[in-house]
Amino acid sequence: MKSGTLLLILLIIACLSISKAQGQQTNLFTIELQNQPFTRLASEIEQKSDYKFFFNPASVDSLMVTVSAVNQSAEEILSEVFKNTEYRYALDANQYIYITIQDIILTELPSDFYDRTGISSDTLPRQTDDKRFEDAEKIKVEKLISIGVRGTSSKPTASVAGYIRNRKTGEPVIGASVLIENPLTGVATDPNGYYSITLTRGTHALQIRSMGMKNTERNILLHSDGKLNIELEEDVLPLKEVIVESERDERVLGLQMGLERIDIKTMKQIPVAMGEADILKAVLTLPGVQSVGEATVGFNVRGGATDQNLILFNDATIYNPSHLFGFFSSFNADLLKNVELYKSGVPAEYGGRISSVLDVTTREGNKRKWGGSGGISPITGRFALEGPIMKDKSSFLIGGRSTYSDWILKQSSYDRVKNSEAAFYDLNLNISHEINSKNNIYLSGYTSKDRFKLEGDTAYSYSNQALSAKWRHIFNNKFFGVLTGNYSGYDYTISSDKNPVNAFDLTYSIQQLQAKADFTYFLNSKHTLTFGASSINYQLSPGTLTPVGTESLVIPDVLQNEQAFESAAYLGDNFEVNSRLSLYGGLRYSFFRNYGPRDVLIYQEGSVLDVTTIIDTVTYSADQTVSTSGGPEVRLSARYSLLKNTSIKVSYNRMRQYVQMLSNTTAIAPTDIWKLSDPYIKPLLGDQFSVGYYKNSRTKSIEVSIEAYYKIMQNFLDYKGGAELILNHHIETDVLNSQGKAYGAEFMVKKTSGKLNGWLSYTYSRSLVKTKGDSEAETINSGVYYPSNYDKPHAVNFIGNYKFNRRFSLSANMVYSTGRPITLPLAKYTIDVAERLLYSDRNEYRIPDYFRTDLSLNIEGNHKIKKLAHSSWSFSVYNLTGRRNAYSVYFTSDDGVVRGYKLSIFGNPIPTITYNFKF
Amino acid sequence: MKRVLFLIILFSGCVDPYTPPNLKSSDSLLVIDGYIDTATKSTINLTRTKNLTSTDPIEIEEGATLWLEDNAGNKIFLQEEGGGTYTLAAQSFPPKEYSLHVITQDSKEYISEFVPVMESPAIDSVSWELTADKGVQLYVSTHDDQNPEGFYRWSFEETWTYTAAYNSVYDFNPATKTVTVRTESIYQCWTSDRSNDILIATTQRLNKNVISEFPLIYKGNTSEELRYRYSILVNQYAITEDSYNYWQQQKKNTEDLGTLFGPLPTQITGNFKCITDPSEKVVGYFHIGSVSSKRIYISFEDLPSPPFYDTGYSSCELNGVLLAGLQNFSGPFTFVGGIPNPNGPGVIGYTYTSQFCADCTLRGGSTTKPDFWE
Repeated sequence: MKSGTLLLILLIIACLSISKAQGQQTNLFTIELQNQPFTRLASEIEQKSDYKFFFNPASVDSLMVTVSAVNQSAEEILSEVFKNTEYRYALDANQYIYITIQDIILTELPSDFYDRTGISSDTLPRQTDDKRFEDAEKIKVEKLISIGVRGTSSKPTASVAGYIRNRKTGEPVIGASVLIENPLTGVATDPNGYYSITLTRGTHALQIRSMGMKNTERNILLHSDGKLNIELEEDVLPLKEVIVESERDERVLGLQMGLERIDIKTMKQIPVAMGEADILKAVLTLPGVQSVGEATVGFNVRGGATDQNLILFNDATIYNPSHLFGFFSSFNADLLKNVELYKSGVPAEYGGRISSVLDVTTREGNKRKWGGSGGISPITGRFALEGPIMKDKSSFLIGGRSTYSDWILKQSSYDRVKNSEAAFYDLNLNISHEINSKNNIYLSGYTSKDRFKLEGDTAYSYSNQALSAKWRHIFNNKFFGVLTGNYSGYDYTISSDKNPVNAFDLTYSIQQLQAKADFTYFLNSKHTLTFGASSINYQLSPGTLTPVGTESLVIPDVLQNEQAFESAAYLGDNFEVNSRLSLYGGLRYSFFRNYGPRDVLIYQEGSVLDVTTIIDTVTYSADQTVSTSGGPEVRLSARYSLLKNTSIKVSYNRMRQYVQMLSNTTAIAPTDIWKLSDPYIKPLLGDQFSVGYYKNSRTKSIEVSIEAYYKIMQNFLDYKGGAELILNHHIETDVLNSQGKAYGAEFMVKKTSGKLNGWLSYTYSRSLVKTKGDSEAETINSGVYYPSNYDKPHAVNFIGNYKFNRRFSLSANMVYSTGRPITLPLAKYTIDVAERLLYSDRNEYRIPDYFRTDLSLNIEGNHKIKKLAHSSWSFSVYNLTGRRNAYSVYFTSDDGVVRGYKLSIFGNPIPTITYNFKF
Repeated sequence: MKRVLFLIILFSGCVDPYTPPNLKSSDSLLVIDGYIDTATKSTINLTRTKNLTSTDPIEIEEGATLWLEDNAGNKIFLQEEGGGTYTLAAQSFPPKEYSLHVITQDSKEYISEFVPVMESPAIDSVSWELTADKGVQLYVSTHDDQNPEGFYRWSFEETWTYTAAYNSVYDFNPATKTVTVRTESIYQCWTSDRSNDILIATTQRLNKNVISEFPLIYKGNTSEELRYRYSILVNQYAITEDSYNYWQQQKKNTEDLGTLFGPLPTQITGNFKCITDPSEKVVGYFHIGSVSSKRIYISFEDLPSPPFYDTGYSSCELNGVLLAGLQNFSGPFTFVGGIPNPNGPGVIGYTYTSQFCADCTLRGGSTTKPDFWE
């Protein structure tokens, strides 16, 4: 939305500043350029002289030049550069140089030239109002771009590859469709904006479409393999055309199913309770995604547990994705570029969790100019700064977020509140650098910390760290690879110092180091191969209890460290059988090795694992293998187009998970711990079959999709009654082996453009668990399937946006779901003068159904291009109807009498004002 | 994590009463409540579970035969006292393991596991401190040099004295319309309340068997209990690890619920089983041992005065009736004092208030001072 944005796709104008005519003079240049964009040469010449270049950026964006000139004139240089190309130049008396393709421009223009194009020279806009801009857009003059070298290839096809970038910021555009319409062939750009498409040689109209960007077309003449980098203009009216055609095409045309991509702009429109655009809350509006309650940590995808989602932040695993008990997600929305959620048909490059993959990537900093953004909401503040380190080569992006909830608590007049503390922060730093056109490196760092202390008693704190370094190398047009190294860490500390005799610190930590290599090979127009390998090293310190202070009588207690390697190799093939049928086959082989030093307890054979049946301890030395597991993971998908805008897809995938969370509470608690597979804790195994039907109506931009799935989950953990999970030296004696199944269907109607856009979805889903052991103590609900904690059969979601004009838009969000299952007391009795309870079978009942409506009004600042800062206001009301949705229903014995209570977290409408700015 | 709930409520949350819809009724299970105190007369109560929403009085189990059996097979029978209560007179117990047997009227036999006699160490102190908000937090401390680790349970009985809103000096007889001076005061009462919460602790993670200032109960600064004189009698039981786990689970099931961080409730019954029908569940935990007790007092002089006390009498008011109006006076009122004659001796009328505001016994207390009261 800045000046750069509007400068454009117009045919002739690069920078039409009016310079005074000057007398003819001969400038001589000494320029040394090695395979640089033509624009670089042009700007060097412009800097060193009064020459002005005029050309269509679109026609030169793939032109790379090598110049080695010593005291040469511009004409000499250009003649040399354009030798053997279709480019031509012309120099006029004003020292304007016009670059064209094939036709040489006449430097004597007809006197009515500008009038004929409808634009007069002095208004040719560097800045322009929207109306004129749109007019300019309509002028379509696309020159033929020649790719490759004529006559060097005899094959019928050739490939064209390159980067799609945002013209304003230089950032790659992810998931943009690059396609030709006849025959319909398309590819999408990868997370680095890279694409490679194989076409028959000859002329094609290459269309480029992406959310939030203007649709662009390039006419190409394909001789042999070649490069074409394309820069896209950001759409000035994002609200109007946001969800655009890229996604529209992707749903029907793409092979991938069960993939939800959340555009950051869409996410920011969703009303939230605390005024922070929140990626996890946006994810929860998607069909097939549930949580146990509002403001809880984590989410459940298609009946899977919260620890079965692989949450990646720039490739590094995040173990706790929430701040402040789940009120906020760990990710600063201002810094995000793209969020993808794979619910099924997970490609072979992902592994390690059985339910889903949530891949969160942050933006790259602006490579061309400095910028910043920030926002203030009732509980949090955030700020981000970005800019070039070396112009067009490298950039940085740094962002931070913090809360002033501590300060708010201190204002309370209640001592209990005043003595409480709750605070968090997170920091991000991203650096990207383009070494040359074939090599890029990316660095990303993230750290977060949460701290809370309630009523001045026990203090809790936890933190996440993620670091990743990525090197991307393009071997040739058809083959590129990414080498990644990353580190993730999660740790927490519980400490209590109120009573010196019992003062303690309890700490937990998990760290993982990962190295991986991923390659993509565009074999030919039919096959795209992906392959790679990865290895993760885990280091866990599962619990350390230490006394604090000299008076403390607490006995230090340390659980044995756990360490393991999880390695995997994969190969996938994307096979376009014909324009109707495409197939994907992938195989991932994962292998897990738990190694010493470690002491493993041995239990009497054939008996229940219990403290009383321990017969021996086996000691493993450092690096000695304690246990191994592993196996193949098959990933298959197929797409068949029925009609032009209709397709069906099927997929099957198997996933293995070697690290799982121990939690016997309904929601993730800050004290839950992750545990590696070992001789007694088997890895989780998940299988999912899914089938989908997709239809687009292009004219009305409405898409309809139906997906159904059936899922089997094996070896997940349940707990014996009264199991203590913290500091347990023999956790295997307290866990139960369960299996789960989940099935359901998701219906969605989505309107992607127009003044009114949004979606309506209905999901029917079941998630069931069975725990049947050898003894009664190891069996729950007599060993039959019972609903899991997050089994919510019916869910309806509506997200709607209505754009009144360019500045005002209204968003509404409506959610309905069946209440989650709960175990209720059936009987009461009196023991020691107090009433106590006897419970039903597990999850036999449900809490009341959930319904909520949110509204938000977004006001953009004026659309002047040049001003100090662009700001926007957002007024939202969460839970507009004030319905007291049950977060939880419980019975407690107060004063010896059992009473039932319903707890609602957001029991009233919650208005919030947020101010955002960007410069 | 119970306190997380508190912070969540802070963020505009709210708690409403909840009545579950149509719960299925459960079987009526035998509940065996009580323990054997090795120092005094012991009481075991037999009752039955009832449906959650039931408002019926507790169903009692009469006509059962109860006996203790040691691991040598010796039996000691309990006496039925009626009302589902069975007692055992004070006697000495050799340090063996004991099991409680119950045979109900319908010939079902229930037995507990064998449990050792647990001797409780003496309570070191029952202490209290003034909290930041001027309330009183009470603690118990103990230690045991004999055993390396200890598991403890406490219960307590609070006793305090309180007064009615007005001190009624006169009594009005509505039949004769006469006023007499009250002979027995109904102004000051004593009342008691027993602890309902499960109070347990272990020294398992400590290198000494020491309990330091285990919090028992908190009294807000406006509590009526602290207005004149307050007393607490703390009973301490040493329990087995298994018993500790049972109470811990009970506590999680009934007291720690409410947040999503709370544990999932589980089915727990105790250390009894039905040997005539192994599938039948029975509720209760058999315990035998000594009890140590300690009583302390807290007087209003020990505490800063709060701006007011939550007495429950805040809506009480005093009205007057002139002597001339006595003949027509009626209604459920209690006379308080006389309205003095401004011009001479005698009264010109009486003040009166509601019975509730003048009679402290209507709030459950007794005007008789307890024997132990100092």
